[in-house]
Amino acid sequence: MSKIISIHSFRGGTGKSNISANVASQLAQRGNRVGVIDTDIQSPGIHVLFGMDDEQIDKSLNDYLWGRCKIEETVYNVSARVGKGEVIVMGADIFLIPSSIRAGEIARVLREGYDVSLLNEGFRALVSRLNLDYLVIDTHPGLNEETLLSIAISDVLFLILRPDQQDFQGTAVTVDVARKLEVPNLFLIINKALSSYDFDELKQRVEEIYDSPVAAILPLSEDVARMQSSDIFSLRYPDHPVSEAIRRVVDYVEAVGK
Amino acid sequence: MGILKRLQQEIDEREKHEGVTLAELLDLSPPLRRLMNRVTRYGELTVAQAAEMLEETPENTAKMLNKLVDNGFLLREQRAEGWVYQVHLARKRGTSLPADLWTPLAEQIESPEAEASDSEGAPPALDTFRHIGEIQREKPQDP
Ligand SMILES: Nc1ncnc2c1ncn2[C@@H]1O[C@H](COP(=O)(O)OP(=O)(O)OP(=O)(O)O)[C@@H](O)[C@H]1O
Ligand SMILES: [Mg+2]
Repeated sequence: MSKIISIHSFRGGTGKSNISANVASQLAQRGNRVGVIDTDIQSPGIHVLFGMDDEQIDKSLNDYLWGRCKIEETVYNVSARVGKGEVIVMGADIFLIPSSIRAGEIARVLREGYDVSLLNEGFRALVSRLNLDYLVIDTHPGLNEETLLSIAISDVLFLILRPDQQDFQGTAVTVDVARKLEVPNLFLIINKALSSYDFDELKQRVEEIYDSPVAAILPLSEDVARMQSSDIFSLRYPDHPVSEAIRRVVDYVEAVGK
Repeated sequence: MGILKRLQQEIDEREKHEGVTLAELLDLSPPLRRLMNRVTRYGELTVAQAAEMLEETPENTAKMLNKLVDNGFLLREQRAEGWVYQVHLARKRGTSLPADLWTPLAEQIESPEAEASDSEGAPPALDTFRHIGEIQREKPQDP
């Protein structure tokens, strides 16, 4: 059975796009057919992690939402792009559905709105027409219609938070929303944890606060920051502690529904 | 009061309009929300499935589902196997942000050479960012 995985956070800059791209790539490396969709229409970005720029993106999610094309026409096979020239053997294909980074397109979708049911149908159509094992949804921070929809239809929801008071408060809101929308598998991921913290204690505290399991804690890493989202970190540096934590997240994904 | 009665009242109280937003679902009573969650998640719902969820007769359930159609929550389609219901998601409305708010982004993408011009307030060209990796005291070591 195919699964929809949403990656969300209440606040911005928590690492959603980096974690989405890494989890998707690790799933593909393990032999799963994976789609990654950028529903962050107002501030898209995940295409960068797969080495794509404006010139390489012809049709995007925006075209589909405007009824200008079928959802299949917005799909890019990015399997050969990950790893930036170093040969990384992927077990199966990975597909990206980018949002447009053209100013006119972003302005239009924000000004005129769009048909949310088309987005809902698009998710389902991608899973069945691309024959996906997993569809990973990268979201806009906070709660808008796109993120609420992606939460409502997800089989697995990962909520990312940093060890920061503002993140702690906001995450409580999203956990509550996820419960109301009856998400069957909700996990927290703590990102950018200082290495001086006691990770076991942090995990226990956070699990108590939200009454939800913590799938992994990723350390704050200068190595990740230095990569500037230009590649898939966990494929480049598989032995790094951040990559180990990503693989733990992927273990949780693969365990769901087994 | 029976559960269906209560739900019908809740549906009637909502001002009738085209489609529901996901945000609206959060405010529904738990049984109605459960029904709407389910139809949103799986794309469609039959009378039999809804009747099972609500523990009600198919006749009463069908009446309630049709009320949901009339009040803009659901869409209905006749199939060989009977009526099938789908969620009626409302169109997302636009914002009233000024239309030219995104022009600096277009300038970034369309003319990276904009860097050369030192016109007042010109945004730094994307190329500046592309080369940040090179502005380091030492070459990065593989971690
Ligand atoms: N563990 C980490 N250590 C250090 N830097 C990190 C780590 N994880 C992510 N980053 C950095 O944080 C920044 C934000 O990451 P990313 O774009 O993935 O977040 P996001 O949640 O998608 O942001 P947005 O809310 O804007 O979509 C990037 O510069 C990324 O390199
Ligand atoms: Mg992002």
